[in-house]
Amino acid sequence: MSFFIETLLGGLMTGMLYSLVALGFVLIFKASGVFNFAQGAMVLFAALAMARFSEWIPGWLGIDSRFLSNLLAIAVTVAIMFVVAWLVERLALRHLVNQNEATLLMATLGITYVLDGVGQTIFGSDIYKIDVGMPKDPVIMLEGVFQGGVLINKEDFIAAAIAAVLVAALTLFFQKTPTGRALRAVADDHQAALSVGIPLDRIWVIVWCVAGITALVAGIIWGSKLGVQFSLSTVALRALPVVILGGLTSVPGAIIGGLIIGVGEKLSEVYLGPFVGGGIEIWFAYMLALVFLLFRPQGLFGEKIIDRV
Amino acid sequence: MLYRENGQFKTSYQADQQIFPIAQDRWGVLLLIAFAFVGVPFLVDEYMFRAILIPFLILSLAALGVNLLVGYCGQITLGAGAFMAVGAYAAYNFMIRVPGMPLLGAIVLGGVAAAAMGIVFGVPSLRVRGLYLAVATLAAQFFWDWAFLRIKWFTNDSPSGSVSVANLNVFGVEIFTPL
Repeated sequence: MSFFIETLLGGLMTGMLYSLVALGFVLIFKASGVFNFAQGAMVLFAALAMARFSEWIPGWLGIDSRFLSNLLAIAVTVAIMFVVAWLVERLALRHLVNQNEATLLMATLGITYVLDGVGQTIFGSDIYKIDVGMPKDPVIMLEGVFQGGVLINKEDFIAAAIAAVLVAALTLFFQKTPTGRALRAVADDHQAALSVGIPLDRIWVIVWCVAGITALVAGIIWGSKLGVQFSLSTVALRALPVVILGGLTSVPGAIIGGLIIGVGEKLSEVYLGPFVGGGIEIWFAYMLALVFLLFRPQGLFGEKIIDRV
Repeated sequence: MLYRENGQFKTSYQADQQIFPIAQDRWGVLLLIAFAFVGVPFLVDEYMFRAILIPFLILSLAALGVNLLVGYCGQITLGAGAFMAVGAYAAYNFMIRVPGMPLLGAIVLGGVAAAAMGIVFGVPSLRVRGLYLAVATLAAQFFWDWAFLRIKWFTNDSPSGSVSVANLNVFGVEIFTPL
């Protein structure tokens, strides 16, 4: 029983991390109607920048404190993500206003390769580590309830808390601020938003910045868990079924989708994997999302898709 | 533009909807094909065949399938590679498991197997549109990638997962080099 609960909790924690990446997808889609395939590359790019700057800054400025150098590295990385967002808008999206979604998807595929390449050229392609002082030691809980208790990673707890805070902040931003309202208007219809005087270019820079910051948070947490390396950008492929399952336009959907996929993956791997040869985590998430799609074609919480024939 | 459709009037619906409606296109493509059959084999060396021309043909064939789905049906697909793999492994299994199976028969049956898989994974497309469908097709991609690596029956217990068949022949003509 306690093993089952450990697997379940492990799945929930992994799911939380998936939803962090999925959030980036949802944000950009909600606010600009672009399905951003480059989110994984942005996670990698941000994590690489963060890892390298937290390494370089103590040497440049002679700072000894890890906290201060991490803080500076985060600030520098945020600035870099701003520049990336501005460049993306300037070089790619500006020329694609009012194109259909397949075209925009292809453009972000291109951005993926550019970011992967440029990031590894500037920051190197080895495995780096991010150390923001997350506790690594596991704790044993609920010893009174089950024999032997339940083993939980403290790091996962903190990651889940950070994700929760981020989601709350983003929800507030989208629902309560004028900028958030403008973002939702742009998602609805580019032309209509332009006609009421919403500056499309500025909105796009803002939304890519927000997605960049989400990518940085995801990158820091994943990076300090697994190390910063190229495989980090494939995290996006794990987050895709999450977005689909939760619905492309829903922030809560990304969270709940993440939890369902995380738990489903872990339980299937442990209880189903041995019978079919293992390694089924990779496609199980997609199959799960596919089954959900058969019953709800717009995902769990997505807006209903209405096509006029 | 060196030429236009001007002056080439169509009198039937069939003529209007053909793949190359402009006469110059039609002749150009026919010439190109004639050159590929008559000219290329004498002009190109072994390396050119193996590294560039044959992969070029294979990928163009695969792209035709994607063109049909995305271009003509408006359904974004990211799983074309999976169906390529299903067809290839199915043809391989027909070759080695059915005694006396001719190569052309195996290729056709491989195509039938890939089509059957296409129907299974195409079911969601009845309900799902656009980007949702694109991700749904990725499911096929990841599933078959896993299946051909993990399920040993498909690869006849080959440890690396890559397989090959000896002694290919069509109507008694052996095929072992590009030319």
